[in-house]
Amino acid sequence: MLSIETRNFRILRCSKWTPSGVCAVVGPTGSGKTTLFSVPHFLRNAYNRTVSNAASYESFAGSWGLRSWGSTDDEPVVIGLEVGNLRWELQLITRGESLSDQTGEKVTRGEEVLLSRLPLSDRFIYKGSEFPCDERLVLRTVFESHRPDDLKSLILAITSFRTYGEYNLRGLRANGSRQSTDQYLHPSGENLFSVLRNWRERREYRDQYRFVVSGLKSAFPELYDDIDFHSAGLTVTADFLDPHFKVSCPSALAPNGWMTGLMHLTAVAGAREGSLIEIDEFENTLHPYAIRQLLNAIRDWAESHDLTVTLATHSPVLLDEFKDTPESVFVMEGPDRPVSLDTLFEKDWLSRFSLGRLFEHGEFGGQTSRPVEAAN
Amino acid sequence: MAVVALLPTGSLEFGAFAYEFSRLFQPHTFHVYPPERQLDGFTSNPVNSLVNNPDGPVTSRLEELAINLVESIFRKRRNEPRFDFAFVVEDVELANDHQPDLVIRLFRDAVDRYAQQSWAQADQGKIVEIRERCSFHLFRPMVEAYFFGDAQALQRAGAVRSPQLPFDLDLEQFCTVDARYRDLPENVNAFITDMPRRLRHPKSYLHYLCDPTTENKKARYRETRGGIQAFRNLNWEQVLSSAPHCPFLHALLDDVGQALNQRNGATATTPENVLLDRVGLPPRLANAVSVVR
Repeated sequence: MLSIETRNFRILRCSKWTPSGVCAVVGPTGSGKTTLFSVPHFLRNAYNRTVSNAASYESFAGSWGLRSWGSTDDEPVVIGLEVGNLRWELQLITRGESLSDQTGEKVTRGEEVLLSRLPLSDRFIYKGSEFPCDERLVLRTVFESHRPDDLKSLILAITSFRTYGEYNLRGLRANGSRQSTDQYLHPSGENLFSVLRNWRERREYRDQYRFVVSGLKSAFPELYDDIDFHSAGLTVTADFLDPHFKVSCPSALAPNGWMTGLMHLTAVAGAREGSLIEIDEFENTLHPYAIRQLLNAIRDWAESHDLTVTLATHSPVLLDEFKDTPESVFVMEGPDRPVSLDTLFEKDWLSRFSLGRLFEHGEFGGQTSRPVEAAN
Repeated sequence: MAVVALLPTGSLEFGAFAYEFSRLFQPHTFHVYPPERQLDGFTSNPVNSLVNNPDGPVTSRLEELAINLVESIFRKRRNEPRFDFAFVVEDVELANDHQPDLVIRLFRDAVDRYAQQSWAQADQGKIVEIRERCSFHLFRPMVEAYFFGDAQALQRAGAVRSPQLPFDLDLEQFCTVDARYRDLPENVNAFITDMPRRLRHPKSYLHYLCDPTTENKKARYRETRGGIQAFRNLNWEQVLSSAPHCPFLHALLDDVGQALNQRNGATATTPENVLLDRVGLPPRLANAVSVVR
C-alpha cells in the first residue's frame, strides 16, 4: 500500500491519497492534477540527485508559489510518502528561486523514528548516532552507507516512480532513438525504438514486447501488423507493416494516436513490478475506441504485475470505463483533494448513470464553483 | 437473410455475441450495437429505486439502453444495411434475482416513454415496428451460469478444477455445494464474493475454479479472454438439455429463432415457452414477462 501526502504544498493544502490499481484523476483546469503528479516525480529526482536539482525541473518550477496560499509561514511545507508501515517525510525550505538541500527529513515506522534531520541542520540522527550531512537526502546517505534491509521497500518505491505524458513525438519521428541498453521508457519517449528492440531481442523481456504488440493491435486493429527495427550508426528507427498491402511504412508517417498508444503501452510494460506510474492527459490524440482498448490492456497488465497506474484525464470516454470502480476515480475538489468519487456520491446513485455523462454535465470535477450548502 | 443487432451490457457478451449467434443462426448476420462501445447495464443494484423513473441530471443507464434499442432499428446510415431486429440482453444479477419481472417492466416502461416522447400519437406505425422488431431478454443470474452446463466451456474459461453442483441443477437457479469454496475466508480477494451470496454467484465460483489458491492474479478468470472463449462454441444443446430448466435462455433463443423463422438444434425440442407471449401478433417486447411456474 502506497500513500502520498502533502501539507501546504501549492494548491494541495492538505492531501493524502492512496491510489491502487488503475485510477483516474479528474478535475478542472488549474485544480492541481499536474501538481499532484509532480510529487512522486520530485521525490524520485530529489532522492537520485538533490532537492535543489529536483526543484529545477520544469515540471516543478522551483520555489515559486511553493507554499499554499492562505497558509502561514509557521506552517511547514511537507511532502510525504508511505509505503507499508514506513513513512518518509520532507519539510521543504525555500532558498531564493529554488529549494534548500538542508531539507527537514524523517523516516518513521509507526511511532519509531528511524532517521531524522531538522530543517537547515548539518547533522542527522540514525539509530541513535549523529552523522554529518552532505547535499544528498539523508535517506539516500543512510541507504548507500548502511544498506539497511528495513528501508528497501521504501527505496524501491521511490526509485521506481515514473511520470509520463509529454512525449516528444516530433523528435522521435525526426531522429529515431539513440542506441542504448534501456529497458524502460524515458518520460520523453525518445528511447522508444531502442527499448522495444531490446525487449524483442531478449527472452526475459518477450512478455513485455508481446503485451505492447497485442495491445496495439487491439486498439488499432486495422492499422499496422508488425514492427521492423533498423540501426544506422547510433540510431534505431522503426518501420510499421501495413496489414492489407504488406507495405512497410516509416515511423515518420505513423499517426500521432498510434504512436501515443505505443508509448503508453511501453511505459506501462517497462514499469518495475509493484511500482507507481503516472500518465498525464492519457487521452491526448487517442480515438475513443483506442482509449477503451488501451485501458483494458493496461488494467490486465497492471493487475498481473501489481502496478499502480494513475491517469490524469478530462475524457468522459475514459471515465465511463470506471463505472464499476468509482472508488478508483479521484476528483480534485475541496481542500483535501483528491477525494474519491464514492465519497462525493453514494455508489447506488452513481451506478444509475454513465460517469462520463455526469462529468460532462459538471456533476463532479466541474470548471465552475459548486454551490455551498447553507449553514443552519 | 436478416441482419440483427445485439445490444449486450457485458464485455464478454460484447466480444462473443456476434460470433456465436452468427454460428447458431446461419446464414443470418449478427452485429453488436453500438459497434465500438458496450452499453452499461442497470441491474448491478436493486432496481427498486428506478420505479417511478426518478429524475436525474443526465440520462440514466436504463434510459440509454432503451433509447439505443429503439434507435438501432431506425438508424439511417447510408450504404449500410439496416437492422431487421434488435435484442438487448442484460444480466438479472443476484441483486435482482428475486424480481426479474420488475427488471423487465422497468425496461419496457423506459422504451414506452421514449417512444411516446419521440413520436406523435398519429405515428403508431413506429410503435408497432418497435414491438415487432425489438426485444429484451435476461441472462439469469449472469452469463457465466451457462458455462456450468458445458465442461469444455469451463475449461476454455480457464477452470483447473471441476465444479461441485447439486444434482439436476437449473443453471438459472445457480448454486454450488463446494465446501472448500464456501469456507474461504471473507474478503479473500476482489473477485470472490462473500457469503451469503458466494454460493449463488457463478462468476465468483468460476474465479475460484480458475484460481483455487485465490492468490494467482495471472490465473484468474477474465471475461474478455476466458469468458469470450467459453461462450464461443458453447454446447447449447447440452446447456439446455434439461427441460424446463433455463427458461430465460430458452426464451432468448426461441425469440431469435421465431424472428428469423428458424429453429436451431439447441432449442428444437423445447416445449412451448412460457416466457413468450403468443397472443395475436407476438409483442416481442412483452417477452420474458412474469415467470409462470
